[in-house]
Amino acid sequence: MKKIFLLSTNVLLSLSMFSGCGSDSSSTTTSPPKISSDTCIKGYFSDSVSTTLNACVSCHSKGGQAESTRFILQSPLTDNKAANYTIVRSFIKATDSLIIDKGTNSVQHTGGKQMSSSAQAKMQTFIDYVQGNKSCITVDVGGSVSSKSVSLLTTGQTLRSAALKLTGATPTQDITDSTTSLNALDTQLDEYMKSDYFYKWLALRFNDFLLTDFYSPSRNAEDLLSSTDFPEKRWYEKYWTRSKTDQPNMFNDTERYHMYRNVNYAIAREPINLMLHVIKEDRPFSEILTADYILVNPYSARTYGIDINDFTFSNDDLNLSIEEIEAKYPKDSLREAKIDGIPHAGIFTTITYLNRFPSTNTNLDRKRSAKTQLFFFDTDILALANRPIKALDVIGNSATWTNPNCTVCHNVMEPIAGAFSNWDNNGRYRPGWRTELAAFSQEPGLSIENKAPASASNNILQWLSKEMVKDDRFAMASVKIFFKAILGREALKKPQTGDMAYTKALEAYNFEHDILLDIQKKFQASNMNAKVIIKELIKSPLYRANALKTDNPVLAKVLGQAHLITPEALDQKIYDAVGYYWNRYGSYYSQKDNNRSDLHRLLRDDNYKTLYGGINSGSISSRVTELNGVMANVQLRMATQMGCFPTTRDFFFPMKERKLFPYVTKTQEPITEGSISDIKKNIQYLHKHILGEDLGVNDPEIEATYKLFYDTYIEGKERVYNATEDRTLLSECRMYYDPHTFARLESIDEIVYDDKYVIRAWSAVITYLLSDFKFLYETSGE
Amino acid sequence: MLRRNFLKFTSVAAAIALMPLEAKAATNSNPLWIFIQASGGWDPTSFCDPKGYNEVDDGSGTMVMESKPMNKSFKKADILTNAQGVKYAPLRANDGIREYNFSDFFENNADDLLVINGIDTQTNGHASGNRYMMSGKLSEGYPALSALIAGITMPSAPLAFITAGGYDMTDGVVAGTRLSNMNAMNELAFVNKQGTNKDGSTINYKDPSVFERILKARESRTQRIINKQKLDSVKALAEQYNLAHTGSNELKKLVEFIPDDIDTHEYKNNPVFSQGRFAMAGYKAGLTASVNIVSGGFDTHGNHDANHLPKLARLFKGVDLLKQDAIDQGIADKVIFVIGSEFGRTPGYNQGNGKDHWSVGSMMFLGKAITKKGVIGGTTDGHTLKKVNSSSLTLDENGISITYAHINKALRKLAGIENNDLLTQYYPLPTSLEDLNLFT
Repeated sequence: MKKIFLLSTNVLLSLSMFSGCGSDSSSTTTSPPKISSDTCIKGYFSDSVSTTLNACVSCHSKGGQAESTRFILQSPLTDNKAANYTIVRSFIKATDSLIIDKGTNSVQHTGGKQMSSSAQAKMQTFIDYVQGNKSCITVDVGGSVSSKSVSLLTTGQTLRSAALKLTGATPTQDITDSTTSLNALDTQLDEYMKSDYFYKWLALRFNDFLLTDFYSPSRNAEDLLSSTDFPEKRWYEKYWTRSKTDQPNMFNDTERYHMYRNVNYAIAREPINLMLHVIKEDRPFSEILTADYILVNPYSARTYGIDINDFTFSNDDLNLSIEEIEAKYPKDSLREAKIDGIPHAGIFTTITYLNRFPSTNTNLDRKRSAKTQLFFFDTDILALANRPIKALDVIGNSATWTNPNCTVCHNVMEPIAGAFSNWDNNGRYRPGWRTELAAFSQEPGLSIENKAPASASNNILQWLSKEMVKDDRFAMASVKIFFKAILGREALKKPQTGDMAYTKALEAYNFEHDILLDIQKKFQASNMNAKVIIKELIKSPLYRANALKTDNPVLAKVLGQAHLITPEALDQKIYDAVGYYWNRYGSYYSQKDNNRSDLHRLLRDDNYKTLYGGINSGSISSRVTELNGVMANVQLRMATQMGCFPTTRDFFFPMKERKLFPYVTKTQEPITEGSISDIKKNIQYLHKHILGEDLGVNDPEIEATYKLFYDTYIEGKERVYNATEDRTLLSECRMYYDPHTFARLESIDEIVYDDKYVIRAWSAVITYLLSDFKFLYETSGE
Repeated sequence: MLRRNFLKFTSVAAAIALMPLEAKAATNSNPLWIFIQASGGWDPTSFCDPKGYNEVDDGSGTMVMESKPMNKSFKKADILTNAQGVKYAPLRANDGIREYNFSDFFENNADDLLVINGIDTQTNGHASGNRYMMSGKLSEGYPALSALIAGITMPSAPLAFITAGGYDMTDGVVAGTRLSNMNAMNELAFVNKQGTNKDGSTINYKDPSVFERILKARESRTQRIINKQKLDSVKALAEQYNLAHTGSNELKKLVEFIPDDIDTHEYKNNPVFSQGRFAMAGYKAGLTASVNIVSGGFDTHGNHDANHLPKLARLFKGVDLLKQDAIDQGIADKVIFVIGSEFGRTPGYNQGNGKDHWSVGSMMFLGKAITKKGVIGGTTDGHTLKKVNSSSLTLDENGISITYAHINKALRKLAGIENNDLLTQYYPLPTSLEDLNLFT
């Protein structure tokens, strides 16, 4: 039951206001008020009073200047609200309104005035509730949204959607048909989470917030390392010669470049690779922060001076060709390794994390703290500072530690910032380097109460990471990492009482949050196996909803899958649909280099990647998710081009090997019943294959697509007949080369002519389907 | 806010936007709004609210800089004043290519420039400060004013709102667009074009009649998809897709107006200039109402003067270049610049020679539509704000503090959208908020 708080004298007025605000006729306006309860008072404390204690807690806490008084609080974060409720309530019971008298300095208070007038009013209301002077009234505002109000995709539909997301490929009909239960879905999802594509997809999702691909591939992550600490940095340059003649045991320009790229790739991706490694190995997800190792490849191991037998690149192989070297030492081959003298703490101590979120002598790791808590502790520090402040309020030598306008963030931010203090502004491990600035930092810890022990002074981040992962906030942050990856949006934030449509927003939040809490518990019960989160999210109504039967516009606006496919996912989906990537060139090179991802139009920064909403992890670091006119044209351009050569190409293959046209030939005209039937059957197949639609052959959508095919065919054939259009295909759409060997085909095997306009009619159909809403978006809709 | 709900709130300008392009370009008299966000928190005391250092006798008769100067880079005595009474810092800094004299900006724009000093930003958090400046609301939920203007005045134009980031939340009232890369834009403007024949004629992927047929079939199918949806989230997305495709043909027009030297101009990497040029082309094409431009690097907690002043020079130079572009294109009278930052920076320097976050700021406005010139508001020598009289806008210790909410309210009025139902129903500013006549 969700509550709002009303003073008893206002109950009737407020209820009538509710009725008059256009709410539906459900229980939201008719439930009787419920008089006073601990739940109500606790709720009021949590929502209205708790954060005002920021003003008190910097002194009135363990280790604070007022620790010898009888009023000792815990940091007013979510997990401490219950404890602080008991503390403040007991204090009020014992001292009545002394807390206000002290806070307003109307009786002598060493800390002076700390309580604003609004905080005072809220505290007074709380005191009235505690002392029984006023009743805390709650009104039922609709309770929770029942799961029964949500219609779901079938398990088969869910599977198809999940398969495309996790593997980039549609499942076979057999697998879809056999997935009739959630257990079967679970089993299949486990299989999908073994695919290479799954880990590539995860890497992109992780980079969306870590942004460490900024350093990969062309920016030099290796240069972030200190030459003093790592004298083997750029080790390959010792073996590099610019001489044009091949010298034995030396790298030429090309080989040197490969070495540089391979080293850089591993170092840039250390944080992301660690996350993938932990998931792949079914380790507790907490290891992403607690790992006492880094992941190296054979080339970065040399940079770090780590010699792993039969793994680290050996000078004995300098005489090999670059192809032989990379075959023997794959750049994606990773090993756990420790660097002597470095207290590794998972992602936190990787060089690219520390540099992507750098520090300065005045920032003192606060940015690192804010990002760390945002990503891994379910705490958005920037969202804590939404209330107005006055400039003069923040004047003072230590305002950030004593003034409530500052402590609201700084008390949360600084202890964790302090935990990074052994790592300098460039990400180098230098314990004690910042001693002279220590006076400007709070003591390191998880919070102002939970300080790091002196014994951890040289490895505070190791201590911190172990503390963080024990906290529920890490578990919830983990759930939200995958929530964003799978649902394509942030989890709903708890609404504030002044927000528009507050009650509906609260219902929506609670509906979603309850599901996330449930998943969090399952995740924790599984020893923090991240795959559990992924499976539970996909099985949840948040992913599978395709209709909502209750009136909650806030929930309806976000429920279910409803998002534009990222450029990276679209790149793969195009390949899955037509068997051919959308790449940079036309003609021969397009075919020969089609698998080269660096040429794919949707993956290149200088082509359509960022125009289509993608990021470059640097100047563009957030995705565009709302389609605009330019992006709409990217869709049309893609569908137009990919309706060209890939259509012709598919006809080259034997029918049973085709992706697009398994039921028709390239000259099959709609002139007999049998032929028309085949064409409609192929259209039916295409709707299923490209759009995932299970339609009867007489469905109006099949008829509409057939009409497009037929009208294009009949008019085009006439133009060819009248010689107003060429009988040959556009040059870019012709098939001249063998798709396997890329050798020129015999002329009889080439596909150049289209006298009957059949190929072009099918090309129109493919363009139509590739530019369709259902191809370009991931949704759980109809 | 779903766009389908929103469309009913659009103004007469919306109808204009839906007219055929040629007619629309001829009749669209709305201005182009250029919002420039100096990201990181700029230091007004280093330019439009100048606070220099004082010289003091060091005891030996030698005049030296005071021990705790507000600024180390110029003397208080050297502060300059332009013809409209705007005081500014007598500084020069590298704009990325060559040295830029701040007086170029303040003197050349004297008859066009309005400065508001002593703004109570009410926060010193980056995210909340940006949000407050751009939406008028400190807490979350309101779209940026740039998005609202575009959404209301040109709801169906494909490039109504161009954004390079900053606070650009749209809440669905309009879709923000990124623009870059001329080659790609050329290709996207003519999606069916494969190449050009020797005689200059176009080679198409599909016969134009076929292409048109596909588009019509797709449009009909999209409408059927929209009608079938039971989930609002999906329905809204399909509507957004439909709307984006409705105007997608108009990119051709944009390409015609993009300057030839967009990829070769010596200042092509100036973020203000490069981002603003696309917006100007969009405006000329009748497709664009507003743009969000971000010019970063202002969060100078360390080594303030060396890092901050070049960022100011770069920003000023970018505005100069854009203004010149507007003059060249005959739209100088139509452009309104709104230039601001999330907050100011602390008085004086920290131990790292930097300046931290400070909740007193300034904004600058340029444009013929803004008839007020000079300075409104003010601050003390220590850069604490002075209050103003809410009627006369003169300094008045019994007056009020100007906030971003006040400025947004006045900007809404200047844009002529203050009474639009969308704003009054979904994004109202407090009725108790004073109505300051800041701009006209």
